[in-house]
Amino acid sequence: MKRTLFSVILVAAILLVGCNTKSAQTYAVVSSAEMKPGDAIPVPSEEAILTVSGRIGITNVGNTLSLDLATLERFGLVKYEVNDPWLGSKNLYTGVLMSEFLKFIGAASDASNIQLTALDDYQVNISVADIQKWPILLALQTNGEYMTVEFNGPTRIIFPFDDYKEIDQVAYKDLWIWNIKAMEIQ
Amino acid sequence: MNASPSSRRWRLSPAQIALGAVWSLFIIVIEISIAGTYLASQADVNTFSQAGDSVTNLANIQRQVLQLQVKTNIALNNPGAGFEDVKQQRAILASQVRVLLAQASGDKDILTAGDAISKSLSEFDAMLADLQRDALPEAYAAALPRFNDLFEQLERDQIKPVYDRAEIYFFNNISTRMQVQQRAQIFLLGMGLLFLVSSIVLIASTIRTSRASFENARTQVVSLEAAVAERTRALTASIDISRRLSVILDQNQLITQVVEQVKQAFDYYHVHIYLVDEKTQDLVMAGGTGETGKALLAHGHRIARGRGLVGRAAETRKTIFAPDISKEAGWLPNPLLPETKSEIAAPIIIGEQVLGVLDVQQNVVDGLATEDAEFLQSIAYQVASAIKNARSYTQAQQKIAVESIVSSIGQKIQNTTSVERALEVAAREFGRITGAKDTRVTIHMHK
Repeated sequence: MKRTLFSVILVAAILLVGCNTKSAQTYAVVSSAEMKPGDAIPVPSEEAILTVSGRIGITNVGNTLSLDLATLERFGLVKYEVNDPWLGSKNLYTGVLMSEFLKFIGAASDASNIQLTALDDYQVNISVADIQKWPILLALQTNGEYMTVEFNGPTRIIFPFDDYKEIDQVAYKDLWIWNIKAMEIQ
Repeated sequence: MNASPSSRRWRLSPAQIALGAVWSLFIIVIEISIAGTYLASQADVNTFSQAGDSVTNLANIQRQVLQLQVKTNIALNNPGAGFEDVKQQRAILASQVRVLLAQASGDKDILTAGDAISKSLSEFDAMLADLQRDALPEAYAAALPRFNDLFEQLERDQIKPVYDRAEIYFFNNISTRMQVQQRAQIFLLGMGLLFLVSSIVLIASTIRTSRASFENARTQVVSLEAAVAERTRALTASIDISRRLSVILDQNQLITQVVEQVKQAFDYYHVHIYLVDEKTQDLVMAGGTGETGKALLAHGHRIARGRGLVGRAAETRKTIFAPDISKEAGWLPNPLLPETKSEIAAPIIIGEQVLGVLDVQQNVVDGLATEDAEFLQSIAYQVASAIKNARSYTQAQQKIAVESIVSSIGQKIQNTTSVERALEVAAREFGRITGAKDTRVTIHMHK
């Protein structure tokens, strides 16, 4: 009886480890966070590249949170390689996990959607559920290089298509927004 | 009695096996069709998505070029405003062109358009650099038509034709794919209907087979029950006839009883018994059923040994069975029995001696079966034994009668007192016994 119980627990543990291994293998940590969720975020000392509004707990310019590149990097960086469906090549992207990003900006616990706006005012919506489910990246670098506007920067959204085959690659392709200038937490 | 029907096995007919094979083939074809349709639809999705992306990218580029033109016009009309917005818009356009070229997948038109846009942007950069280097705000307005010409030429000659072509291809693609999908759906619908019909036919056929098998099994059980009942009746009749025969000591009465009881037991058309004439060895009819039997008996009907079924039975000492007399060589028709269709002649044998033949006739082809032959042979054996008993009894009775008469005459003779009286008594008694009109005793005296 004890042996059977032990075997069941062992199999369950292996399965659970297997489940965790997938996300652990998707990305590698580049740098740990230099601040904690809930910490105040000062007004950017450099050029602001992203403005966050909506249901957030941390603000620094009126009701919005203005972020420069240096501040974003303090949230901690990870990286992973993925086939970019728009650029048609496999690239290494480095940036902030969106799930961590939501913690640092103090997003409301019941927030369900994020509306992202590009420099040309193109907009998409990404659900918070997807962000919690997959390691979606707010990329700051492509192949180790910061991204200019001409190269789809300064930030863009990356989905882990290669490791998560359950993601509908046709439907989600349009959510790979680049030239992001603003986010609204809803 | 009738023979039991041959048993049948429950198995699929060749038609059902063929139907099953066709049904299986349908399933395979449907599976292949569905798989093919799925793969085709996957390819369609990819093609459709790619064509849609090209149209979207080109539309974006059109919009970005227009935005660049607007922002350039604003900057040139407002010399103090600077060119930051223009440069950002130019970068956004460049990023979109970069994506367009990455997505072109070898499409020459798009690659050509992308290169043309890149060259136009280089020309735009040069013109803008000249203006900024000269730093002459009054020259901005004068430069505006050249910029607008550049944008309009780019839009008219490079972007719009490619966009139109991509758009037409996209919608043609949708139309074609929809037609293909529709045809596939109609095909699958047709296959589905065929599948449904074949399934219904197969199920109905299986149900029919099951029902037929069940009916066969039921019929077989009923037939077996009937056969057992018939067998029981035969045994009962045989025992009954045997019991009756054992107490009949008169041969004629015996024969009459046998033919009537056998006929009644199984509702035969006609039954009669022939006995062997010791002198001629012919088979002389000794008794038969009904009026026909009486008529044949009165007529002194007889059959030579070896002729007909009766004669053959006596000759071979074996039961002769003719389920269909029309196929029986040497069969002798009897005008008084016109309906006879089948016949069994069982020899009445005791030891090596043939006493006669028990003959049974039925008015239906195959109306008599092997079981009847066995039953009648068993009756014939019992009849033989009974006839022998009756004959022995008769012979014993006759012997006793003769001895009684002799004893009576002897006694009367002894009571006489003279030779003449003794001879007179002897002559009178002998005449009385023999029924002679005149009886004399003659004494010859020898010298």
